[in-house]
Amino acid sequence: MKSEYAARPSGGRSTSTSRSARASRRQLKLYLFCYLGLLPTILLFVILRVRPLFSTLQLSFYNWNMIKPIKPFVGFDNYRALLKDDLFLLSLRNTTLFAFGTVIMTAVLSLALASALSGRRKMSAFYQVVYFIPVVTPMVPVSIIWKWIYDPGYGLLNYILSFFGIEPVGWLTYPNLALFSIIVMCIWKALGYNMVMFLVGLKAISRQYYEAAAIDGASGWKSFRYITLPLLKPIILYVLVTSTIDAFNVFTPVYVMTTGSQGAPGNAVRTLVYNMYEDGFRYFKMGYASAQAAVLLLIVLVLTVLQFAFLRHEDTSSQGP
Amino acid sequence: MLKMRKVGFLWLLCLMALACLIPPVNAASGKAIRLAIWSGYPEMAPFYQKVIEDYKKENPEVEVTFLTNPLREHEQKISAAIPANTAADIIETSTYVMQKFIDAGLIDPNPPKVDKFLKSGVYDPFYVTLNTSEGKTYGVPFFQGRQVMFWNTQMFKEAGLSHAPTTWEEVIDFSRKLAKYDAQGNLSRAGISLRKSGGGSGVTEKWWFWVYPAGGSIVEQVSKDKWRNGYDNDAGRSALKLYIDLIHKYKVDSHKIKADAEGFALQTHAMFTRESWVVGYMKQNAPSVQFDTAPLPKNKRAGTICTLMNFYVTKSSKNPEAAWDFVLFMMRPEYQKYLLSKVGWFPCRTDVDYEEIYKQVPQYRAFMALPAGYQLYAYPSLACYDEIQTKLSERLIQAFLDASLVDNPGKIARVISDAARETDDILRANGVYAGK
Amino acid sequence: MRSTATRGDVILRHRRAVFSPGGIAVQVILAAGALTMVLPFIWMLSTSFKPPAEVISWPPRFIPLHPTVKNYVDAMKAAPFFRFFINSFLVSGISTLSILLTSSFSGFLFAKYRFPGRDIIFIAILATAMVPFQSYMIPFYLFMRDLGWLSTYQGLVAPLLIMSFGIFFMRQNILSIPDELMDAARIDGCSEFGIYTKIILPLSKAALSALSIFAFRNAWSDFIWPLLITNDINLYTMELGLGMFQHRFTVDYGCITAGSVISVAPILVVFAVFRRNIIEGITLTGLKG
Repeated sequence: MKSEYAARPSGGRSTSTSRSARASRRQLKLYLFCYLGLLPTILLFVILRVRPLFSTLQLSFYNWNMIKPIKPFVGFDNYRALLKDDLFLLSLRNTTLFAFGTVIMTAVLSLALASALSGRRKMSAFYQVVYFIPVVTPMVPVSIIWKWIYDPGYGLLNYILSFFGIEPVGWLTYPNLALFSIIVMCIWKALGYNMVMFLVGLKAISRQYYEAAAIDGASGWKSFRYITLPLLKPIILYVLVTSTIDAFNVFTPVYVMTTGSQGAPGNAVRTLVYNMYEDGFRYFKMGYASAQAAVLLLIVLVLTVLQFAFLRHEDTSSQGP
Repeated sequence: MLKMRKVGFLWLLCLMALACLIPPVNAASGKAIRLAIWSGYPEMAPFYQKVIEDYKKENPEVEVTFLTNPLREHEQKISAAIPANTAADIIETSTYVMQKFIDAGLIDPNPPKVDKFLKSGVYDPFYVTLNTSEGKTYGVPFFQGRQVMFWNTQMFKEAGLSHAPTTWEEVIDFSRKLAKYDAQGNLSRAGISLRKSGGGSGVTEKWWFWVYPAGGSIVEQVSKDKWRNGYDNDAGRSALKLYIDLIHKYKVDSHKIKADAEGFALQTHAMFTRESWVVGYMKQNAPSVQFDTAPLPKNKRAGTICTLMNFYVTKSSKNPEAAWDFVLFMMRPEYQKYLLSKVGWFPCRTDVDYEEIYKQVPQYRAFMALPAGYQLYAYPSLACYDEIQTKLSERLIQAFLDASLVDNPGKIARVISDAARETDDILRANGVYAGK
Repeated sequence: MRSTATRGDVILRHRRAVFSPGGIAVQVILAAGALTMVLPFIWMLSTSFKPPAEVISWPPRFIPLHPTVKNYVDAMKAAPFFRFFINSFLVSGISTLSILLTSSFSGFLFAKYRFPGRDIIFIAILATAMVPFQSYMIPFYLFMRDLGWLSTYQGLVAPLLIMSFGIFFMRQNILSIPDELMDAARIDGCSEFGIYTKIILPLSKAALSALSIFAFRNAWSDFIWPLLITNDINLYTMELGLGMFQHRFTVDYGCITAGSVISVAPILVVFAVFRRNIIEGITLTGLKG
């Protein structure tokens, strides 16, 4: 289970000084190997991500209007203004709802699907493909499809509901439904990806655990609760971290579903990035938008670190930061 | 297991694609003068193809290319490119979008030749005034967005109506006659389709077309650079009341009915207001629908918005003279006519005779032939106007859903004055608020 | 490595025992879910073959009465989809290749070595994925301008050369490769880089093919950056082209869906080619945190 080769010679613990000197030279060489190996990637990250990101963080301390020649330094004014900005607080609320909705629902649903599929190999392959199609489909065609599904007059959803005697509903135009409708669409799109992740995890759990549990009389829900869930922690971590980051960054689904006269109202589905986009690119308040980006970064960073902390694998091999 | 051959094959394909792509991209730069146009209207493509082809016959040394994007994406592109000095030579956009760049000194005024053309009587003086800033003209008016009422003549006939509504009373009365309901009493066909939802500023814009005839506006100019809201008054309140009554009291429009041009093509409603492009759109998508156009209904006053789409030559152009020459070429009368007959956007030149096109497509007439007493009004040249409209839109969308506003003047007044306070706050934050 | 076949059989027995009472219910739910997944695509495909009159017919009909390919002919005439396809393919291909290289090697280093600053560097790389590209798009745009890369393939592909999640993903995968294999190779005189090429890469082929799908999909669906950086329709990607196309035919669902099918088909083909690799791949390699 030991999963990491610490910079140490493979011959075991060294005792004499000359051997330890040789060992530390070898260790230095290993460090060099690591740093040199990471160098291209780190360089790319610095040039393509970190540098532009830092200029953005810098902008957040300026009243930086894209088209005004004078861009005065304002310190923390942008951040202070954010606290009093109703739209920002609304988008914070919506994004939190969105993130909770999508992250928890996709995690639970895809875990349930994966558990149901994990024993059935033939069927599993078929369903994996089917559930994966939405994952690989780009957003523009997906939005075209979903606008039709949600269409109040000609939509598929209202048509299906009409069989149950349910009256047509304006899924996107009603503010309290609009966010929910977008959440459903995003779950639909992300389900297959997370399901495949969980299938992997389930396959990796050794049968001995279940057999031992069966001897103790635990099966069904109990074995799932006390064996499957704890052993799945690493996968749960990966799924939660990546889907939380994605959820807090949601933009394109909101952007495309608000387009047009029958699109969703902006405020009902206003997420952090949508709000940031509007302030930055429509009202040209780049400094203000950058402050929102900084707050977003902070929130997601804290959430990620918390997720790593809570789900750190008890197994010593875990090297989660 | 992994099929290495398959993967290798894919990469080979990739490299082949790379190999055959690089030459054409580089080879294109051989011409002496290259000009690029950015447009916000994908339907404009046939027009540009035509003028570029014709221009090339007269000027073989000039290579012109055009790029069309949907409006929202187009505006985003120019917002990034103009400050970065990387924009195309010629940009097609509205006066009010360009105004903030003009104020920031990012766009040069027209050269004398172009200025003379603008003032030579080929345009309505109103257009020239709109495109004048600090005494200098900017851009060449190309086409315009005016609003008219589109009405489905078939439906009107069936309801025993012979003309489009001309007053607000008729709007309510006609809509009630035109609306249809199913067995459960739900609206199945709207009498009128109002703009009620969607992101961005469109909802406010369409609402403005009702505020204006009632005597108000979204913002009113008090003095140079000083503004305040223009709807915290009877005009704003009665325009909101009209929407609420149509939606919730008389139930002649609903959020569940397909709206806008799409709904008009699918005959889910009997009338709505839009610009002239709908004529071309209907011809292409729903040729069997019978419809006509009429001026917007009047109340205390009457008028229509006039949004100018202009050509601007940017500072990033390496050949501004050639660019202006091409712009003036596009303004020739034959291309103005071509624009109207092929694309359906209404050209700006007022000295050109469009009679033959009216004969073919009578629906165009209502756009230009304004009845006596009709005013033209335009977007204010206010950099924060988009923010005002967008934020007001969100409040209006909320209000339009609120059935408790029916016969509740107190609450309507409250909604309006809350919204107006936000408008004034935005003006104040931008340093152009005039005070009460 | 573990043997999936036997484990699969064991779990098979185990699962059947657990779920047999509700077996039918599970089947029904799975099938209903699968239907929900594909129904929109079936509609898209069927609409694309419908003549205009049938597109808006009510109630919706899934099999066209008078199927036609006119929508496809119109769509192909209205926009250079082939060119869009080549551009998307090229950009996605280069992006995928670069992400595979950088992610697998740095994922290997993060998973198998301990060196000062490792966790900080790792979390910093992950942190760059925590804010959307839009928030630093303008500085990035100005940077591309200064390089003279506006409206070029280089500019189009630049932000797509790396992927934080890719490094995270490869790290999690490589963690589960036993150290004993690496130690054995070292005793045989294998260099550290040799371990990467001779042991890590072959054993993570499957994970790499899964990553390649995600990377390819990511690059393919990019919309906002191609919009900003390309000034030439010949450089338009499929997504951008489809966005423009959609606005030209707002109500002509037949044409729009035909365009959508044209744009989705290639990525589904790539997925079909790699499908077995992803599914078997993820299952073979496994994940560990």
